[in-house]
Amino acid sequence: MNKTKRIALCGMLTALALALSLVERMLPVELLIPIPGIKLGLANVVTMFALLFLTPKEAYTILICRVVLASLFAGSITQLLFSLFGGILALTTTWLLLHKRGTWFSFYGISAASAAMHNVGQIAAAMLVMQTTAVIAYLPLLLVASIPMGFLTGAILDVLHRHMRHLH
Amino acid sequence: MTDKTRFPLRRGDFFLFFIIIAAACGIWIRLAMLQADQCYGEIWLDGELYQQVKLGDTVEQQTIRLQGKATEVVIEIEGTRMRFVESQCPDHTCEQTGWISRVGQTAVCLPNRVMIQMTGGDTEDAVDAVVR
Repeated sequence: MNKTKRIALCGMLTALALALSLVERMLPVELLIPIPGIKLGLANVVTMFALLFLTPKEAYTILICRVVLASLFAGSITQLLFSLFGGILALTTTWLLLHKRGTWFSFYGISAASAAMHNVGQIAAAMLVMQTTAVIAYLPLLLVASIPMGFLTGAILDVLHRHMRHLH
Repeated sequence: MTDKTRFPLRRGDFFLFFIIIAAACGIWIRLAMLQADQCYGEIWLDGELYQQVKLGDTVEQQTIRLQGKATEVVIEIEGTRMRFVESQCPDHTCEQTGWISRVGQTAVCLPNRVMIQMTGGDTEDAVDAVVR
């Protein structure tokens, strides 16, 4: 893949991630798990995809672009900080675990761990911003929720990966 | 890679799930324990929080000396209660207040502008700020 193609692909992936993060805002997951701001993490599928088929550098770039733009369109500065903290932590976790994919871990476990670390990052950012430890009370439920959410995103990645391999 | 296998999960996945569940349980139990006896003794000097001490049955007896506006003040903390032990000020009202042990109780040494206060219980309030 030449440089122009890569840049175009990164732009398209950023757009896709943005669209997904806006779409998942409409899904009423909060009815199932009553925590403010709980999400499926569909946009994370895109960054994990970038990690698989592009380079880590490009994955981080897409992540940061997506987070900044998403909070510009529909969010606040604090939300930007939370997402950035969680997103970077989640992506780093994914990156580290992907090295052992196939032998030790599958997409399902990696996605769940990534979702869990995303929540940890967000709560840590919230603790820093609000200067209180009270928000940590959300963490146990968020962590448990990250397993089914991870299964969902893991399944998407699994299917995607299986098909994309033939195209490469 | 080993994608040919039917069962998609790997051994490490269960390890990751276990860690997540264990962390969730750990935090939950820890929080439940904290909520049971979350109570702080606060020392205020001239309108500013000077020190915040966690109180509980396991807390050992300790004395805190601080320089007030006029003289030195000695505060004693023991278990779930605290008091002014000694103040060089003329009126000694704070010493006479004796032990305070319930949330919301205060004892004040006006000449030194020192106040001790019990807080806690309602963790939703902004009172339990991060101590550094």
